[in-house]
Amino acid sequence: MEQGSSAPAVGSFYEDRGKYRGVRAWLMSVDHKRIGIMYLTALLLFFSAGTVLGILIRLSLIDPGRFMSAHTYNRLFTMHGVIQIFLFIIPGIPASFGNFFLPLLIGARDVAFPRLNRFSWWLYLTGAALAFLSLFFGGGALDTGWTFYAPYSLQSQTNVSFAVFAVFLLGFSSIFTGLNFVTTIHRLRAPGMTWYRLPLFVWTLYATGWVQLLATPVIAVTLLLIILERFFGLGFFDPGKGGDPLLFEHLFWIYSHPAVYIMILPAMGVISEIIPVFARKIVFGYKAVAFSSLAIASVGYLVWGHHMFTSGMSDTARTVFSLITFLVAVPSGIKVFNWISTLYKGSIKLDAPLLFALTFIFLFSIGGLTGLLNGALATNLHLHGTYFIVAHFHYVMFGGVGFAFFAGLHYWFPKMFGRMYDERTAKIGCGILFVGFNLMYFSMFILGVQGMPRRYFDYPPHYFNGQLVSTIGSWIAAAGIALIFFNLVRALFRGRSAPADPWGGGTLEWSIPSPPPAENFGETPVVTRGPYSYR
Amino acid sequence: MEMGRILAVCFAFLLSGAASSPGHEKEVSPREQTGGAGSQAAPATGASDEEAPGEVGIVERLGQYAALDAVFHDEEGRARPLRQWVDRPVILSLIYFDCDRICPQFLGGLAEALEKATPVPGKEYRVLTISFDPKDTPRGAHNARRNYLKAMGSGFPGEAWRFLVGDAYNIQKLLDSVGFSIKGEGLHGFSHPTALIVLSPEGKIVRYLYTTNYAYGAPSRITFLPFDLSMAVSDAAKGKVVQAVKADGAYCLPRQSKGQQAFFTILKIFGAATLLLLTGALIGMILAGRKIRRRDGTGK
Repeated sequence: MEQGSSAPAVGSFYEDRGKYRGVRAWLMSVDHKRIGIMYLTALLLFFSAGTVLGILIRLSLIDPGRFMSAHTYNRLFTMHGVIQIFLFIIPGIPASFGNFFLPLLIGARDVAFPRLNRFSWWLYLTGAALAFLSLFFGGGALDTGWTFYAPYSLQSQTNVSFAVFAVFLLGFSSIFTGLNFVTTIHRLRAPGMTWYRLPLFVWTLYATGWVQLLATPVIAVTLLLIILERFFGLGFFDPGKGGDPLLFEHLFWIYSHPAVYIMILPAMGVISEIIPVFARKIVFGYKAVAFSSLAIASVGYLVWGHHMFTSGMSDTARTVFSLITFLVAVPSGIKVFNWISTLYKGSIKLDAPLLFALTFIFLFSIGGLTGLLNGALATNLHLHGTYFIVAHFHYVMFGGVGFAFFAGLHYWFPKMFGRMYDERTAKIGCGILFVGFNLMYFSMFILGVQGMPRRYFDYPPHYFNGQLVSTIGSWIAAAGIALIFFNLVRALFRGRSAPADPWGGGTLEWSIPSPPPAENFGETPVVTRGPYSYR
Repeated sequence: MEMGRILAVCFAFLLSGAASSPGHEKEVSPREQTGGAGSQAAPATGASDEEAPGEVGIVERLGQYAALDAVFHDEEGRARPLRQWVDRPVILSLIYFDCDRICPQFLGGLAEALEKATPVPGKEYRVLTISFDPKDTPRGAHNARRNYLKAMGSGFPGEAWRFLVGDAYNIQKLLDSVGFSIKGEGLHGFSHPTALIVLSPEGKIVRYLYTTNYAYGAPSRITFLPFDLSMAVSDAAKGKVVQAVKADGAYCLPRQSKGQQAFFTILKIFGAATLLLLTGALIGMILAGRKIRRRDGTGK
């Protein structure tokens, strides 16, 4: 591999605008890096919006009725879920870091279908715009919960059809991105970039791509059925007309459980990139980590029933689903052990990206292990529908994917923007967020075991202390996020210039200048060794 | 059945053919739009459309009299008019013995509640379970009675819960008198509503107790409140007619509707097509990738 010693004479991709000017230079661009930056910006905006809604939910819960009505509360938690899930965390890492870094990591000039990539981005934008518009007419913001369960979604007077159509478009954006990535990884690898020389982030994007291709059509059609049922009264999910509300739950979770892996797999990929770099060691068990991604992706298809243990299934089905759920924990465990083993006896440099990555491992482990409690049929019957579930999936999604997103952001920020952020502030921000996060969500575990049901607007007084601690945690977490963002935004304008390889990373993206030139590589790199072999 | 359906859904990776809906049927009356627990129980059994639920249901005949002259056979095959068993408040349930859907759960829930009800069984009230399947025999009645009494333990006197069978004419007479509409389903089974009917000692219909609780996953999925039964019996003793608060309940439907089966067939076809398409794409990409590597000379 040719390490980037000589910077090419051409400027960065920011200067190369193509034939358009102004905003159109961005919106019409087919450059994967520009598209990645645009996704990143949009994602962070939606993440902020969703977080504000989350803080409002928590605020309402310390004094129900004072700040908002029960119906407003229903709408808030629905929109919080819809925004965080469909607009932030599902597209999240693949759309932003995947777009920006996949071609760089495999030594390609762009993705396989650059125009399709731009189309995905437009679909995402349109979906987001429609979701936003749905708030303002025809009954306004949804109150069904983000799962759109029938019969809520069939009977709700709110603007379900419009919002659901927005999610439908987002689904297609996701499908096209998946198709693009899978094809890119098959077809555009640089000479010598064999499958076992792929950086692990690429492996996870590959697994994710297949999940997007296979699972997303199911949700697309399910949502379409909701719209048909609302407009034309076709009774797919209405028992009075021969339909079945359980069918909706099955179809929804056939997508939405694999979607959990669409979220978490790339996050694991980011962590697998960061840990070897900051431990200065080759990753422990490369093949095990790579194949565990594929294992998670494939077994992840067969566990959707564990969301429905109390919805109505035969005991046989529930037992089988419970068992397979236990199986899917194995590849996740393999990854965690391999990360820890990579750190073992490494010369660890505790920079902000690694700090976020370590936090990820800690929080994800709690999320994953409590996932086993939920997956066990017997305990699930008690914990189902309580705050325990809420705490569990926030540990996985926010503590897992969210922290991995921040880790990736801090790891690749210098490459994307050519600036260095303040290391100390980043670490303090991470610490504050960590403390706030645990206060907010760990108290939910306890509330859940005590029997506090999720989505409830009000509660008996003995839950108050837990709710209060959780809400205070939300304020601390918000302060942490604000500090992290402030630090990064300041770096954009005031940060010192980033060198090509600030962390001493061995993968291809560090061999070219920061930010990269429009064509990525002056000449196609020839790969002669694995991704994590250090000097 | 359940697993079959799950497998069917499992292959539902693409189902754009969903336009052929099962829901093109006629309007259903409010009674069929099962609210509350009814709409939970219905999906487990597969709700109907072609079965025309309008024909199946309960029209309450409160204050009227059950057909006490209808003749039924008891567990030993002795034929008697129904009047024979109605000499004190009666809790009447109408099911069929071969039912593998809701009926056993219904009787199980009843048995559980009877154990906890306060009136003295056999003395203050009697329980009658009458099969509306003319093919059911006294032997079937005998077995059913033995099973449920055994499940209840020793405290419940055998004479207090009788299982009866009858011929088509007498069955229809009884069903008409209590407002039950059922429908035979082809070779096997019936679509029918489920409810307890409480009779006064004179045979007057004083109350309908609907199955409003259906708890999936619970050991007893259908439960009745012992308090409700106790109240019903004491009211029946006085001949007091009580309107049900929640006039609706679960239906027992022996099979899935045709529309639903077609829907799942379409799911399977499109799911399989999607899988084939994607497998084809994967193989294509692997082969093409090899060609590139050979050309570059960078393959293994």
